[in-house]
Amino acid sequence: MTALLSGRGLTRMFDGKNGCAQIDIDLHPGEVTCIVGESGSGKTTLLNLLSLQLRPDAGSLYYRTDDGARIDLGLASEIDRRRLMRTEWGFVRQNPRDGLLRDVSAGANISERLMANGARHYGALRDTAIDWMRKVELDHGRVDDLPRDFSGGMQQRLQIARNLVTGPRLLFMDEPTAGLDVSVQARLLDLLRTLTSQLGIAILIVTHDIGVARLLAHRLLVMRRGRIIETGLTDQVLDDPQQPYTQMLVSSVLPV
Amino acid sequence: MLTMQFDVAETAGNRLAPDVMIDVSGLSKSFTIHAQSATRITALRAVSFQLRAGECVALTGPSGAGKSTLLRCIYGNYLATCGTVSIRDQKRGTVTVTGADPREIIALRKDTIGYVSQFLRAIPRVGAQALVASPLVELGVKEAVALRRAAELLERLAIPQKLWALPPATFSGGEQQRINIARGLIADHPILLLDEPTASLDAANSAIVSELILERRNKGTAIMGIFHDEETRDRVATRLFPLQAA
Amino acid sequence: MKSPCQWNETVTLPSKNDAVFRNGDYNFAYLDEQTKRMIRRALLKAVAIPGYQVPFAAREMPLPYGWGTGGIQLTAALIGPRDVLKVIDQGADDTTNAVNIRSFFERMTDVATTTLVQEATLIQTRHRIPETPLRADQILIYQVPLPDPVSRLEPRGTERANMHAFGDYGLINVKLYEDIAQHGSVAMAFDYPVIVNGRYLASPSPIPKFDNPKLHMNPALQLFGAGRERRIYAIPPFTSVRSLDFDDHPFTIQPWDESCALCGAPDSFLEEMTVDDRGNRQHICSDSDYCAQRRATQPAHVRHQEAMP
Repeated sequence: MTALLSGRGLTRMFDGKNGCAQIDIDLHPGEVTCIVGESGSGKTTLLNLLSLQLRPDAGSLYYRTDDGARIDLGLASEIDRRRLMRTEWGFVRQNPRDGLLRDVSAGANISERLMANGARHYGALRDTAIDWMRKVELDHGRVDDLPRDFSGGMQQRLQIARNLVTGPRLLFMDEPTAGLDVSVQARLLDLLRTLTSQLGIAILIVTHDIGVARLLAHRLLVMRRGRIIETGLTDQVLDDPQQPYTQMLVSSVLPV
Repeated sequence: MLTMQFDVAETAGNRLAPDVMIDVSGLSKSFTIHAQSATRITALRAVSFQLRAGECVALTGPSGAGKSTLLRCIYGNYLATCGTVSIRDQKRGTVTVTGADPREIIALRKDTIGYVSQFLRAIPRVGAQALVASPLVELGVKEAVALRRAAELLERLAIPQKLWALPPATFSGGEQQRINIARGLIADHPILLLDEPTASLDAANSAIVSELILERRNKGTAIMGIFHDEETRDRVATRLFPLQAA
Repeated sequence: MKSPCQWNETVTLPSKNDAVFRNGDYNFAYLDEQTKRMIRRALLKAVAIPGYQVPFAAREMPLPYGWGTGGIQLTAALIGPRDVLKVIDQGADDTTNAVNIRSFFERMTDVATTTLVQEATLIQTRHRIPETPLRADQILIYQVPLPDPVSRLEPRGTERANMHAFGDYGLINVKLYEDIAQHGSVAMAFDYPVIVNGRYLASPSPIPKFDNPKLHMNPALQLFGAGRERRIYAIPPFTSVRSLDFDDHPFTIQPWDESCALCGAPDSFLEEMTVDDRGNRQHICSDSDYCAQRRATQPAHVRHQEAMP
C-alpha cells in the first residue's frame, strides 16, 4: 500500500461510551481527507489518536517513512514520535491561541520548528519566515509583530505557515475555519486549496462544515457514535449519501 | 469499512476492445430515501452499452428516465446499485469505476474524463480564467500556458474579457454555463460527459458550443451527452441512446 | 520511625569525639548525615549526567530561599575538616551574604576559610566565577535561583521535563531569535543559557555572560544547587559548555572601555561604584580577591601601564 498513515482497529473509549472504536483508515500523499460528524461523534478523538496526542486502547498505527519503510508508531520510541511531530507532521489547531506562541513575534513563531531541528542562522531563519508570510498572504513587513496584533483569520494563516515551514508530509487540522467570518473563511479555504495542490501532502481535516469538506476534501469519512459509518469520494458521499444519518446531515445544509 | 452494495458483474476478462472507451454493463441505480420511511426509487434498470472513440452518443428519454443519473454513475459521482462501468484509461488500462477507490476515480477524472455539469460550482475568490485553467494546471501544465489556453476558450465562447479575472459566482446563468463548458473542455480528455451543456444558452452561443463539441468528436474524443434542444443534438450526435423511465 | 542506624547500616557514623560534633548541639556542617548522603547521591548522578537537573529533597535551612540555600546544602554535604572554604557574593568576599555564609560554616565546621582563590578547596559563589583560573583539585559551588532556562517560556513542568529528555530545545532558541528581532542582539547579559556536553540545556546561574567562557573546559568541578526549586546539576571537569547563539550572531562577551580604577586590570569584570559623597563613580573589579592580589603583587606603574589602552 502507498498509504502514508494507516490506522487499523483504532479504539479509544471514554467512560465506556464516548470516543471511537474499530476505526480503519488510510491517509495518502496528495490527498485531503475530511472527517465530518456532529459533536460527540468521536471525530476529534480519532484525530488525536492519529496525530499521537492520544494513545489508543486497542489498534495499531503505521507510518511509511521517507525511505519507504513501514514503522509501527505504537512501538516507536517517544523520541521518534516527537521528531515526526515536529518535522514530518503538522497540527493546525482550531483556536490559533493553542497553536501559536503568544509572546513572540510572527517570525519567531514560524522559525520555531526550524530551530528545534537545528537551524542556527538567524538571517536565513528570518528570510524563510518572510517567505512563508508571503505564501500565506500575510504582510511580511509585520514579521516582528506579535500574534495578538493580527486578526483571527491572519492568526490562522500564521499557524499554517508555522506548520508548513518544515515541509511536512502530513498535516492535521482541527476545525481550521471555525470561528472565522465567512469572507475570511473563503480566503483561508482558497489558500488551503492552493497549498495542498502545490505541496502534495496528506491532509486530515476534522470539520462539521460540509461546505469546507466539499471544497477541500478528496475523500470524506462520516462518523457517528464513534464509528465510521460511510466513506468515499467527497462529491459521491455528498450527492449520493447511502446511510440515513449521512442523508440527514447533507440535507441539513443550508443552500447558498 | 462499508461493504459494497452491488454485485460485481462478470466483464469479459476486464479488458475492453481497442476502441471502446466506456463499457456499461447491467447498470442499475436506485435511491433509498431514509427520511421517507426508506422509500426506494429506481432510476436506472439494467442499462448496457459501449461508447467508442470518435462517437457522440445523445441520451434521450423523458424527464426522470435517468439520463443525468447515468452520466453521474459513469463519472463516479453516484454509486451504482449493481452492474459495472469500465473506462479505458491511457495510463492504467481498464479501470472499473464501480467499486473503485476514491483515489482511482480522482486520477481518472484528472486524466481521462471531462464532465460538464448543468450548474457551475464556483470556488470562492478564484477568477473565471484561473478556474477554467485549473484542470490543465492539475495535469502539470505550466500555469502561464494553461491561462493562455483558457483565454482562447473564453474568447471563443464570447465571455467578455473584463469578466475573466472575476469569480463567476455573480455571473449570469449563461455565462456560468459557458465557463463550465470551457473548464470541461480545456484538458482535452479522451472522454467527455455533457449534462445539458446548452440549456441556458441563446442560439448563437449554442452554435459555438456545438462547434466545439464537433471539433472534439472529430479529434476522436468519446462523447456522451444530454442535449435538450434537438438542433444541437442533431448537429453533434452520431447516434441516440434512448432511456425509458425505470 | 526508624532510627538513623537502621537507615544507615553500611555507613560508619561519626563518634561523639570526632570533629563533626564539635559545635555543641549541631552536626558537623549543620546538616544531618542522612541528608548529606542523599545530597551526595544526587551529586554523583548530576556529575554522571552533565547538565541534567537532578531532583533532591532540599531541607529547610536557617535562612530564607534566595539567600543561597541550595549552594549551602551542597557545601555542607561536601565539606570535610581539612577543606579550605572561600565564599563570594557577586565576586566579593566582604559583602553581607558572603560574610554570613562564611561565618556560618566557620561555626558549624571549624574549617579554615580564605579569600584567596589559590588557597581554597571549596568555593561557594553567588553570581560570579573568580577571575583567577581554577585548578583540578578545586570545587566551585553555585547558588542558583532558577535552574531551568525554559521555565519562563514553558510553565508546565511535565512539558519541560519532556523537552530536556528529548533535547527538544526549539523554544529557548525562539527566545534568542526574538531578542535579535526586537533588540538587534541577544539581550541576556546574565544567566545566559548554555548547552552542557553537547546535550543538556542548563542555566549557568545569574553569572554575567562575561563569565560563560570560563565554564567551558574548566579543570575544576562545578556544582549547582537550587534550594527552592530542589534541583542539583553539575559541569564535571573539562566538559564542553557552549553558550547558545546563531551562526550569524555568535556569542560575544561585553567589552569595557575602562580598566579597574584600583588595580588597573584591563580584562576583569568591572562594576561601576559610587566612591564618595559627591557621587563620583569608578569602575572597579567585581572580584575583590583578584583586585587585591594584583594590587599587592604588581607595582603601581605596571598597573598604570596595563590600564593604558
